[in-house]
Amino acid sequence: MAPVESVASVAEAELPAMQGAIDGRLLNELWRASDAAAWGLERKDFDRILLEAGTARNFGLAEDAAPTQREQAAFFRGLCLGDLVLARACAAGNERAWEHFIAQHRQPLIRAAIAITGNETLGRDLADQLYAELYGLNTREGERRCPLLSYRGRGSLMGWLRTTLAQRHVDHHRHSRRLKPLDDTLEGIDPPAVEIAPETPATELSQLERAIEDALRGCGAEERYLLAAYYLDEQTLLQIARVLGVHEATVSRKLKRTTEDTRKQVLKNLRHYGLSRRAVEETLGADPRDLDTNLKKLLQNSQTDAFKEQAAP
Amino acid sequence: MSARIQHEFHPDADMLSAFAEHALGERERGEVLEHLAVCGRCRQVVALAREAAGAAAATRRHAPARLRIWFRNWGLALIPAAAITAAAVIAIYVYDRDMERNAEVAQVEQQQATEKAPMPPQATPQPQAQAASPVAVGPTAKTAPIKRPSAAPREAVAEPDETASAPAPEAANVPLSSREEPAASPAAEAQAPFVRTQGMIGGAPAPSGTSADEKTESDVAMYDEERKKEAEAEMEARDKHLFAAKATTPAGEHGPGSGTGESSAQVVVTDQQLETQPAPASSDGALMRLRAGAFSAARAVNPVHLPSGLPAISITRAGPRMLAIDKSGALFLSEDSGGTWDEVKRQWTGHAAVVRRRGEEEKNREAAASDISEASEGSSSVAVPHPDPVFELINDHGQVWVSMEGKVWITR
Repeated sequence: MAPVESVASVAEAELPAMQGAIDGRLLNELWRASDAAAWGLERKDFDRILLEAGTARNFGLAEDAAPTQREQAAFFRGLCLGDLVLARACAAGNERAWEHFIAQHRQPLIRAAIAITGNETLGRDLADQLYAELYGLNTREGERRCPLLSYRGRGSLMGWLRTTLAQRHVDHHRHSRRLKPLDDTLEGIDPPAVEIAPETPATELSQLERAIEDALRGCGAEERYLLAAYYLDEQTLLQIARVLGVHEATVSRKLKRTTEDTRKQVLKNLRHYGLSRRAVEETLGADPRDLDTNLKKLLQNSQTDAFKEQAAP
Repeated sequence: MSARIQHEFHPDADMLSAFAEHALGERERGEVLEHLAVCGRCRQVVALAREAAGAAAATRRHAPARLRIWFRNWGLALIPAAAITAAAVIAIYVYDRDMERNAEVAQVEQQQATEKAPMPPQATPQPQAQAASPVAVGPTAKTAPIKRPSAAPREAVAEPDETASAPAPEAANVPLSSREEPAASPAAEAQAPFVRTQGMIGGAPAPSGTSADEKTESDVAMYDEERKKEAEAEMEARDKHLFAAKATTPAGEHGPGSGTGESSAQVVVTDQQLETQPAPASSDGALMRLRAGAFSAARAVNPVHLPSGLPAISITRAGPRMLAIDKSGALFLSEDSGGTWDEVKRQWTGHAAVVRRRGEEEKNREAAASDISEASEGSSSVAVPHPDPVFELINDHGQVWVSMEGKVWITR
């Protein structure tokens, strides 16, 4: 019997991996580590699943980069292999896998749904709906579709379930809000105020709008995320901190620094447009209601085209 | 590409969950963050997913935390609770001990009352009835109503005892001077054990004219020798008695000095009576004689090693239970024939001088009388079982304390 080579030894190789292929020794090691045979998966299916998971995001690299064997091994080591094979076994209809899935994830799924919706009835409904989808009751073009097929093991299966629940809930909420009757929407809105001529000249206001847009475009992704989550979504510092994986105080400091930097950049931009110092200060003292600036649009204008996939089915 | 169109493209749940779990590399994380900065929908999804994960983690932490909180809340209350529990345990222990002591005292008092109760007329000693007297009197006395000990019954009971212990000269083949002597003289009372013992085993009696106050070490040595001889003769007599009772062995096999009368006279002397202690005396001289006699007897028969390291001046025993007083006046109790000794808590005043089994003289006298009558009738004798032992402790002022088992002592 040939000695078993470990993933670590395989990962030492700096050789570029073959296009659309994974090293056989690495696959052997992963096959043994995943215990996929216990869920009724065959080796060729396992290899196909791994290849699909790796190539879907190019092993975590840029699209045009060619992964080496080490990068491939590092990518696969970062996968939740156990959850991945379980999800695929469930999608394939393995009864034992389903029993295990129900035992492990059914109750946490319900609790997560209740936490997301903030209501037990809605939460149970949401969980049941997703569970029915997971079980493959939905068909597309005559083929049974299971959302578990979109799980690729980048995070935990439970995390994926929570995120999917949150997607369902947010989509439903946004859709229902969009379909809300207009009369209901306008009910709580105050009548428009009488138009008063702005004290700040229109030229300076337009320059201010332009300076703000330029300043926000110059911000990094994290700063923009902080500003959007805090000022637009009105998330708490703790919520933002949990998403970013940092301490609440760190978020507070970063937010303060980002706000100050943005203000400085706006001042700098205004000076750059030829305004005097005094004029700049007067411009910054303008009533925000006089501005025709949509910060939401501004923040969303710098969208990258990194994600071209649809949301999870 | 407009923002509106770009919003149609979102990271899938796999990427968002991996981002929320910080499982992505720097490049992918930056891409997701870039998207989150401009996508309110995905920010909301990630925030909700993180909230749900936090709630699940809090639920997992809640169970052990509840235990810790319960324990912490009771932390301060545990101290008085432990104190109350300890107090309750101590109270129960003390209560049980008092109850036990009261029961023992009541038992001692009951026995005292029984012994001091007047003898029924039918128990009046007759020469023929003496053999059965220890057995016949016992049950009658026990069934008598319990009375507090008083002087009147004590005197009343002394009379029948005296009459009961009166020997029948024609029935005895051995000198019975000890049984005949009156108990009034302190000097004679002090010598009583030795004299009686010598009479029982047929040895030479102690010179009656010698004053006990003038006893010297030579006297003590002489008594030691006598005591040893007495013990040897006693063993021989017992063996002979056993053989005689079975009627299988000739009496002559057991050597000289083992006559029929002697052997039958010692049949009732069981192991519980091997050590005979002097009777209580009120005078100091008599007490000294008591000490000397007890000391020599104890040293000769059963040399003991008390925990105090001091020699024993008085020893008595009842079965495996032994009591000993050392030179300092401390009383020791052994439940295993002297193997281990425990000091008895002092419950008497003065200096403990003598410890002995209570009523030993009377019992010996009765036993000897019954043996004599049995021997005269030629019947085989049987060892009479003794009632529960009652010990007496005498201090240097002649005051007496009694105890059932040697641990709890009450004044008489």
